[in-house]
Amino acid sequence: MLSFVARRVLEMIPTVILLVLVVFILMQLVPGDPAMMVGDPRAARDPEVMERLREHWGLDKSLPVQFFTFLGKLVRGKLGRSYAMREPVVSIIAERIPVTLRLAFSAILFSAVFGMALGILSALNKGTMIDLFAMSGAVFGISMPNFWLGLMLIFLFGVILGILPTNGYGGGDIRHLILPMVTVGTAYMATITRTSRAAILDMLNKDYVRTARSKGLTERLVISKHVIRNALIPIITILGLQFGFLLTNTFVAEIIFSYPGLGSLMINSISRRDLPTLQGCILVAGLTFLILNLLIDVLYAYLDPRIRYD
Amino acid sequence: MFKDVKNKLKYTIHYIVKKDPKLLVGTILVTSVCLVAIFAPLIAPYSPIDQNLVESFQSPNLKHPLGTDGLGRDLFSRIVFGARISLAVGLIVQLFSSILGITLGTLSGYLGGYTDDVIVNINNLMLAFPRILFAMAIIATMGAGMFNVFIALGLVSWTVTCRIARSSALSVKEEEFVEAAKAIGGSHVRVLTRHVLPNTLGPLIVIATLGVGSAIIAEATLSFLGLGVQPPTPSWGGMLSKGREFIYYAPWISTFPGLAILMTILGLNLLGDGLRDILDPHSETEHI
Repeated sequence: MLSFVARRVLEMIPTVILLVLVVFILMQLVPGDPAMMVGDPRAARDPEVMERLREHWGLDKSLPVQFFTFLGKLVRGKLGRSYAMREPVVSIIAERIPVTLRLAFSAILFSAVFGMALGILSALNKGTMIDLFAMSGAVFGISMPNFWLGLMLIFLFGVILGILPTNGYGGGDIRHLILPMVTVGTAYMATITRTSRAAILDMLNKDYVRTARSKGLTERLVISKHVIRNALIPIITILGLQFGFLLTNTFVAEIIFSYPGLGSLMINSISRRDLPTLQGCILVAGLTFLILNLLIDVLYAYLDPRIRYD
Repeated sequence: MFKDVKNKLKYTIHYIVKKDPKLLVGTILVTSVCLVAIFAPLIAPYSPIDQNLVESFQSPNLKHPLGTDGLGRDLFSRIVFGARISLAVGLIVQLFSSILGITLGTLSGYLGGYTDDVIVNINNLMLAFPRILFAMAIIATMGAGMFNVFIALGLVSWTVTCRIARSSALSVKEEEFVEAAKAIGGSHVRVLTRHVLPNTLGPLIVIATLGVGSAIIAEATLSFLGLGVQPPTPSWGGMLSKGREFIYYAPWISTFPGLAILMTILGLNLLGDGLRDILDPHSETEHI
């Protein structure tokens, strides 16, 4: 198991380097003179001031030099200073990460619990109204743009019913988490419902399930020990494949609910043309995504020992 | 080979009408959105762009069936014209990424060797990151706007098509009729276009249908974040983003464009699901 994890971590390295390179190249392609953005508009008229600014931010060096300076700083955990907030990007991002992760993980939990429950329920009641209802709901869930869902939830729970807060983090108050969590998790839940239904129906036809039944196990035991346990593997595969969606949805929900997470920081830094912050956000988001995928792979290997020795 | 596809198509139409409610509903929804987009100027009672501040923030009424927005523009007309933007983005992005994906995937599977290694590796790296994040990064550098949305989404959307085209090409490559075509002196291009591609069409059509939907959602998301199609062009995502500011006292502004997106995507998803049952029964394309 340990060697499997080690191998997967090593395999991540080229991807991480490519991520850094792509981010660096993208930042070079941004039109306009970064020094102009840093400085006071009045200073832009003074070439001497601009020259000093360029020197101060290292913008006068050649591109390869800039890249390796960048890489070197990254390795030491430095992401530069935000143009807009004049603070180190690392500390700004470090403040935001827990907010985003908390939202993302609660959405995963929410969607996994309800999605699997619905999927199991409709698989075991295939062809009934329950099945039809759950499956139609799932198709709607997948087709619904999540930012629209968020707005409708705000309208329903915030405006009409007035029972849930719709704005901000509320210092970690759990009530502030509910609407964003549902917004992020619904599409994910719908996918999980569909996958777990398909996976369970698939398992119900397997020989070992028939064997388990014919040797007299109770239906309850057959379902919980033989069917669900084995159906977990395709479900987790989908969980992993859809992480990108989840992360994107989290970012969007942060904007809708004014959540002070990584997503809202990133979008704001795009509109403020705050390049160091944007760069840091993309790097951290990419890295988070890679690490989540790694965790899924490890979970996968834990559930299915064959994968470890592949 | 094309005859085969034609027969399948005939069977499909028969199937739509007789058997599968999913396909039927999907086809109706998608066809109506297409018709609305084509005949937008005839359907929309008002201009989607001209402002009329006297009539701003009207809730749905007889004169404006879906109400008006903050600049007094008729929401119904804007949604009708928005169908054009959404469909254009969906189709153009999917066309661009299909061409890219099919070309790279077929070449990669058919030629094998070094070409295959390079393409597969690039593909895996791209699959390793969330698509929209990538598109956002590209747009952040190039600037917002419809043209840049095409490019950004097209550049990040070809990966799944490529993977499927590759695996189909790999499996068809060894078939006897391909060998035969080569043996009688068919050129690479001829073998590829006449023998390999037609046999990979089924799953590719399914992927393309679903891909149009995800491109539309991606555009709406980008426009919602202010990174996509810019005002005053009526894009559904952009309308939602404006509606968000007024959700407390003019909720209709954000309700109806969202319903339009929902209906379109629902139609495309049902159509894609239904087509998959017919064209790709082994479900290579499941869960993508």
